[in-house]
Amino acid sequence: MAQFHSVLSRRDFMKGLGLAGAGVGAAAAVSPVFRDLDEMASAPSARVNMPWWVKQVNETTTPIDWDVLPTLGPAYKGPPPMGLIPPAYPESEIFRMKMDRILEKYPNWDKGANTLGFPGASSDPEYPDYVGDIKDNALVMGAALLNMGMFPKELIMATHGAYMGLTDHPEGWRIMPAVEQRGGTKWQGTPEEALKIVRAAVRFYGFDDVTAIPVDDHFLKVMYGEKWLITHGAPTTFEFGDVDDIVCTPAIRPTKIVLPRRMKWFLQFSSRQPGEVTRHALGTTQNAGQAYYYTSWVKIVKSIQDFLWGLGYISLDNCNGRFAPTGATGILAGAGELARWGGVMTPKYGISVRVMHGVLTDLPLEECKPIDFGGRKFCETCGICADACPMGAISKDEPTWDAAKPYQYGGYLTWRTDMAVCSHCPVCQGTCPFNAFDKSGVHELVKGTVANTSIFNGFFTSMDKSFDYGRKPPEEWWNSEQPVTGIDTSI
Amino acid sequence: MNYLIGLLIGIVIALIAYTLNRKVSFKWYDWVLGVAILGLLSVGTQHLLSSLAGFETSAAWFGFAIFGGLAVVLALVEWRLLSARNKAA
Repeated sequence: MAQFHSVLSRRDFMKGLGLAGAGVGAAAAVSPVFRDLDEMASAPSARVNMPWWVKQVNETTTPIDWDVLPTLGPAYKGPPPMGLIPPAYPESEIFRMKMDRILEKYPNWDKGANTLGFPGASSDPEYPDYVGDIKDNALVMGAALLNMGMFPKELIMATHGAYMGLTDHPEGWRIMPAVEQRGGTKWQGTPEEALKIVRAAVRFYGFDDVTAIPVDDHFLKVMYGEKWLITHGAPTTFEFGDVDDIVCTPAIRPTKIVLPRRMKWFLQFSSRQPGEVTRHALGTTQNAGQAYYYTSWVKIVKSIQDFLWGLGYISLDNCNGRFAPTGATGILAGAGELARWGGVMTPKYGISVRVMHGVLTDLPLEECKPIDFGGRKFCETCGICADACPMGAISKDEPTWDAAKPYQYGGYLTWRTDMAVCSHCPVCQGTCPFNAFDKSGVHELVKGTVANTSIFNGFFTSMDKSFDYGRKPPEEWWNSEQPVTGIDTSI
Repeated sequence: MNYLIGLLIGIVIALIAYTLNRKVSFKWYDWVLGVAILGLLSVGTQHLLSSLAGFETSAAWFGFAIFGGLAVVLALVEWRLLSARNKAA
């Protein structure tokens, strides 16, 4: 069994998530969504769950040069991108750097028991990670079951290693026979109706930001031809072919996937990460909000796939950025904007998201557009997350077109977080002004203003600091009554 | 419940104000100032309560001080305007 877990070290397990994902974008165009009331009334259903100040635009707000952006698709012959980035520092140094920042903010920190054995934590017995006092530690431990969809060791051993987790079947588990074998025919409707019912189902299962884009030339450029998944011993190749169904070779944890050419739509959805428990964490390696959503999101993706299967359609999951960088898919499909932290920022939940998800499917879906809510523009002035990062992984400089590291991509103008330095703490997630977890009406006012003009961005950044928004002491969370699952869905 | 309590308090304050100022003739800008004062107080109170409930103690009181302070300043201005008008009459 050591062979299986040898690929689940700290870096391998938690860092190839597609969070920073090498997102892409295009020239900022800030035309309003609606020109008149008729246009508003006939607005695509894709926007019904976005706030009023979110604009639909033709190009993503991150400028991109599609001629310069490298093709990740079948023509790509470089090293497998993402997932296996060697850490810039030894475990001991990472632990020391984080510990220094924690003790700086919380001098009386009770570090509690260590997290050795917890997937994703430091595997160095000399320098293990610590979550905090026994309550915080226990909360994280309780979230560990099925982390990343992985089965407990006992179950893996019971199958002699044949099965390792919920992501073993990229096409979904298909717990029922095909609809034709159940005496019916596949669901039929317009692309608009399809997105509407899919959105209802996806939101029921627990995700939001449900949009869709076609598998066009731009999408194929950012879709991998080959990807080395963190749970696989070898790279997986992807290609479209004349097949009736998704062909996985081998059937479990395939290293070759052939997709039917009729899979022409990408369905985007994202999960929120419980914000309060995240920002009340210390910033070691894990916190309960982060860990718990690593346990739940794979299951939700699989539920969505079986929902599509139930309708009579097939799908391929993008778990861990299986076939495309999730930053790219998130902004192309209009779930958010690429932000300074290197990942997608959403209008409603800021960067308290884990993460951008999606599936390729043959269900025709209404096409959505990228969005502009002033988020990227705000990042140009803000930089609070970069200042808070204990590892210095988030860029404090101006956005650049070029990639500074071999595991990054050039061709789009953005801030590139150094994923070899990122310790996955995640302190940055608790600091973003766009999170705005409380229900003060001021946040709506500020976000509405930021979406339309950037002249107050510096003022709003200063106010965020002066008002002491952001991270809070862990003990405070235990004395509160939080929403079920830690997420206030009314925000 | 908070909405109903606020509404009742508002009605009572409005009745008292109306009783005390029955002989005062309001100009258009008195109404503008009045709406602005009420708006600022409402925003400040909503911000205070929501922020306190959301762990944002500092933000709650800072915000309330800003919105409430502006409301107080405008209220003083309005009071001076009314006093000056009464004296002139």
